[in-house]
Amino acid sequence: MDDKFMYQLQEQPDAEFANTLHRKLAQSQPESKRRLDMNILKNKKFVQVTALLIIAVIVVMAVTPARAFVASLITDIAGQLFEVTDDYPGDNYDGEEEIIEPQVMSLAEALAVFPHEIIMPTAVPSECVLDEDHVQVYVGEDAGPFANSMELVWLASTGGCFRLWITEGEYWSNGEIVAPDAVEEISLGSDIAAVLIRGGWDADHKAWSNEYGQLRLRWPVGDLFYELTGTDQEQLIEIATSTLE
Amino acid sequence: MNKNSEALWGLQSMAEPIDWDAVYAAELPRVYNFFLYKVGDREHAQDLTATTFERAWKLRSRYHPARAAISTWLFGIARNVLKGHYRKIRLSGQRQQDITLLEEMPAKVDLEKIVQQQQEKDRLRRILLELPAREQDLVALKYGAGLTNREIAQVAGLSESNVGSILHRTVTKVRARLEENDGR
Repeated sequence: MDDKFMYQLQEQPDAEFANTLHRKLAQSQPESKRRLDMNILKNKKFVQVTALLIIAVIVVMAVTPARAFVASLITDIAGQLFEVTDDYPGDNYDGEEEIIEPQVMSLAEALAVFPHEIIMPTAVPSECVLDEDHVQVYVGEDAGPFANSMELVWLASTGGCFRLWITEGEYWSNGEIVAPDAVEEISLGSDIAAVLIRGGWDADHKAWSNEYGQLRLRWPVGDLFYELTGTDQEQLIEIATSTLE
Repeated sequence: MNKNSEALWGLQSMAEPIDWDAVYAAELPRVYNFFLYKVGDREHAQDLTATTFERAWKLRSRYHPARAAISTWLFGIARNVLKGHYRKIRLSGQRQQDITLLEEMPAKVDLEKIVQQQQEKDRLRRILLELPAREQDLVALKYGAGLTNREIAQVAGLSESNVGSILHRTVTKVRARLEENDGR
């Protein structure tokens, strides 16, 4: 195919533009370097707090009644840990709240920067369309406990359809705090155990609430955890199962 | 993949630090020409190129060579920048600017030939800007940025053979329209 004529619009960028931009880029530093010093300070504090917590846990666990009490609160459901309580957990944390912002990028970019292979669900309802331009990605040092996670949202003309949170799951390893009877085990396919969590903590009423019918279905996929959030249990199970095929 | 890209890819696969100055030198003309083919004027192409590199430089510590080639990563950002640009145009109700590319005149010129070449380029540019978005996108990646069909397939999320057929159809269509114009 003779397509040489298609190249005739190519040209070299203006030299002054190229040099100015190069100088500007040379002065900029990547995000992680700019925040390095702050992270070191954070890490020191983190190490001190962790050490104190470990000592406290050892002291408490040395007392038999205390050990029995703590064990009764931690439950393993489908291989995932949960701390079950009626007490609203929001007031128990008096530290300064740290908001971790995601990087918003296209799906192609997200897949390129994410350090794991992603299996996308195939059984998606026809009215739901993946918002490919706004994938929220947490990678790098700044992502803290959310490191190596991403969130994808499927939208319908009437509003949100469902969202998928994909993570290495380390921040769940200490046990998510839930209300009694909020979690049940569900089987996906023949051999994958998932958990279904109904409702969530309501900060206004300081209690667990299922008023909006929100459901979360969480299951392991290789080294990752996937969590779907939606309102239709059957639909969530069907979508989740399609990631295992 | 051009020679510079091959050299860069070779460096990455050996897990050596990336020479970002070399990336800039190799990729700047490609990114700039991608935008030039897409938007049709230098000023916007320069702005969009600058935004792409500034964004890429900010995120460069997060680039994983094992996951994607530099060009795939960079053109992923470039296409995202372009989407943002079009969104801004739609929101502001701005119209795509007319093409105002001026060729520099050499000292001794065959004026008639220069004018004819300039007209040919203008016709081609207008035809390209009227193509459907996907065809325009692939043309800009192929003939503007100089990417191979394989690289385009990775950037655009299409199969290599699909890229080849779309480009073949598009070039045939563009040629026919140029000939149509010549006949008038």
